Amino acid sequence: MSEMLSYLIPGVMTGFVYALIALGFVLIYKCSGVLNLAQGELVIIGAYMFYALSAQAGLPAGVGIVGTLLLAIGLGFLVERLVMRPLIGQPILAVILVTLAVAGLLRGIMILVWGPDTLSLPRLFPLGGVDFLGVSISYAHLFFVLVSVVLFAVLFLFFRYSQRGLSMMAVADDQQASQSVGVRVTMVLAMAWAIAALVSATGGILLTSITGVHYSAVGIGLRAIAVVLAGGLESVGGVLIAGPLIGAMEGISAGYLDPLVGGGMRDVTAFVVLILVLMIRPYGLFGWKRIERV
Amino acid sequence: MLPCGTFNRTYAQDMAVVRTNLQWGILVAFLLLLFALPLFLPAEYIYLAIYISVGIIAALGLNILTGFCGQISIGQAAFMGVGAFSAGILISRFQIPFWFAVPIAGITAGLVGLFFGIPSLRVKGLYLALATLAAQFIIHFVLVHFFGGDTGVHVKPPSLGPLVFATDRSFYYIALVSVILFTFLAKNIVRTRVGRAFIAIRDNDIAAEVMGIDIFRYKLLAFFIGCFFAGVAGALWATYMGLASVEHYTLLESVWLLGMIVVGGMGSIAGTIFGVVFIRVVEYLTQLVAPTLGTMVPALSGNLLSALEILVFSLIILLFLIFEPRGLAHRWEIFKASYRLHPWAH
Repeated sequence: MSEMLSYLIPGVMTGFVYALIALGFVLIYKCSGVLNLAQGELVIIGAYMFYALSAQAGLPAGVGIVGTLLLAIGLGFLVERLVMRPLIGQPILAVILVTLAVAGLLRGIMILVWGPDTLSLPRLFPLGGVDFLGVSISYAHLFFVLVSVVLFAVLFLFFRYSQRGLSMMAVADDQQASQSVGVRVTMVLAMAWAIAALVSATGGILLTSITGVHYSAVGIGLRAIAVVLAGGLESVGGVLIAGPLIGAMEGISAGYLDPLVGGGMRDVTAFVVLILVLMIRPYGLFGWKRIERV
Repeated sequence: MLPCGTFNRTYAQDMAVVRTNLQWGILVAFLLLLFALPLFLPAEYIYLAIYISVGIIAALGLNILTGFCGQISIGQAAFMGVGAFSAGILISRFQIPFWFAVPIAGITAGLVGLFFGIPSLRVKGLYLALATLAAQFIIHFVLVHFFGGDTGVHVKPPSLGPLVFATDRSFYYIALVSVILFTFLAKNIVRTRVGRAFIAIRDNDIAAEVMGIDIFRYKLLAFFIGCFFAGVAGALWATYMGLASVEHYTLLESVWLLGMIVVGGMGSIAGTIFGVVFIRVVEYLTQLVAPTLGTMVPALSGNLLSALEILVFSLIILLFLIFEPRGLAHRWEIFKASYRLHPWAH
C-alpha cells in the first residue's frame, strides 16, 4: 500500500504542473482554435531563461522568476504578432505546422545559446520532505501543488472579474459575437499566447528545478497535450482533474512497469492515454460533444 | 496548360502524364543522367543523393496521406523507424534476403500505421494530428525497449548473386531504382479511383461519403500506403547505414518531412521531389557554411552546427507557410505556363 502511495502521490503532485501547462494550451485553443505544438518548447525555454537570469546573470531567485515571467509574456506576444496573425484563416495543417516551425526556432535558439549539456537550476525548494501516510513527500512536490493551485486561483479570478479576462472568455465562447460588441479579438489572442507562455514558463521552472534543464525535455510540454485531451479540449476545469489523473498514471506505471521494460514508462504513458482517449472518448471527460466525427 | 499545338483528342491522351516527344526525350535524358551520376560525382554527393532518395520515398508516402487524403501525420519518421527495425531484424536475425525483407518491412510499417490510423475513423483534423504525434512517441518507446533500439540493430549490405551492394556507388543504384519505382507508383496511385477517392475525402468528406466513397476504408488505405512508403524508406536507409537506430527517426525528422511537402507543395508528386531536394540541399549547405560561420563568431561555434540546421529549416517552413503556402510546385506551374505562353501574357 505504502509502495503504491509512494508512486501515486508524487505523480499526482507533478500532475498539477501538467495541468498548469495544459491550461496554456487550452487557452490558445479556445480563443483561436490553434493547436499549439510549441508548448513543450515554451516550457523549456522558460526554464532556460530562468537559468540565464539566476545562474548566469547572478540575480537572486525571486528577481529571476519575475524576470523570466515577464520575458515569457513578451515571447508569447511576439509569437502571436509575428507568426500566428498572418496565418489567421489558413487551413488547419498550416496552423499546426507553423507552431511546429516556432518550436523548431525556439529549439534552435536553445541549442545555440545554452548548448547540449544538462544545466542545473539554483535550488528553489528546501531539501527533505514531510511524512504523509507513511510516505515521504518532498517539499518540491508540495511546492508544485501550491504554486499550481495559487496560479489557477489567480487566473480564475482574472477570467471571472477583470474586464480583459471576461473579454477573453467571450472570445473563447464566440469570436464573431464578441467582435461585434467591441472586443478586440487580436488583443485577446495576443493575451492568450502571453498567458500560455507565462504558465508554461512557470511549469518549466518548477519541473526542471528537480531534473535540471535540457532542450530535449520538450516531451514534458507535449505530455500536457494528453492532459488537455483527456480533460476535453474546451474545458478549463477539466485539466485540473485530468492533470493529476495522468500524473498518477505516470507515477504508477513508471513505478511498477519500469523494472519490467527497463525504464522510460514516464515518457510514454501520457501518449498511450492520449491514443486511448482518442479511440474511446475523443471529446475527453468534460469537452463538448460537438467534435466532427466523419 | 498544355504545350502549344497539343490537343486532347482521346481520353488516353487526356490522361497521359508525358505528352510530347520532347517531354519523352527530356525524361529519358534525365533518367540516363541520373544513372550516369556515380561515374563522375564525388562520393560526398553520392551520399547526399541517397539521402535525398530515401527522403523522397518517405515524403511521397506522407504527401499521399496528408496532401492527397488530408490526414495530417506528425509521425512519419516513426513509421520509417518501424520499417528500418523490421528490415534489420529480418535480415540480421532471420537471414531473409534484402529483396524480400524490404517489402515485408514496408508492409509491417503499413500495418502499424493502420493501427494508429484507427482514431481517424472517429476524429479528424487536429485530433488526428495528436494521434500520430502519440504514435511517434509510443513507437520510439517500443523500438528502444523491445527491439534493442539504444544500440540499434546491425544490418548487413544487400547482395544479388555475386554482386554485393556495400559501397556508396553501388547502393546508389538501389536507391535510384527504388525512388523511380515509388515515384511511378505514387504518380499513378493518385490518378486512379483510389487517388480520386482520397482527393474527394480531403476536399469534403461528407460530400465524398454521399457520393458512395467508403470513407473509413479509404482513410485506412491512405494510412497503409503512406506508412508502407515510410517503411520502405526506413528499410533502405537502415541497410545503407548498416544500422537501424532510433536516432534517425525522431519527432524532429517527422517535422522535417512535413516541412518538405509544405515547401514542395501539398498534393503534388513533383512538388514532393522539389521539396525534398530543396530542403536536403539547404541542409547540406548549412553544414558546409556552419564551420566558417563558427570561426567568425567563436563564442557560438560549439553549438552552431547543430543549431543552424534547425534554425534555417524552421525559418524556411515559416516563410513558406506565410508567403507561399502552395509551395514550389505552384511556382513551377507558373513558370511552365509563362514559358509556354511566351511572348504573350495570356
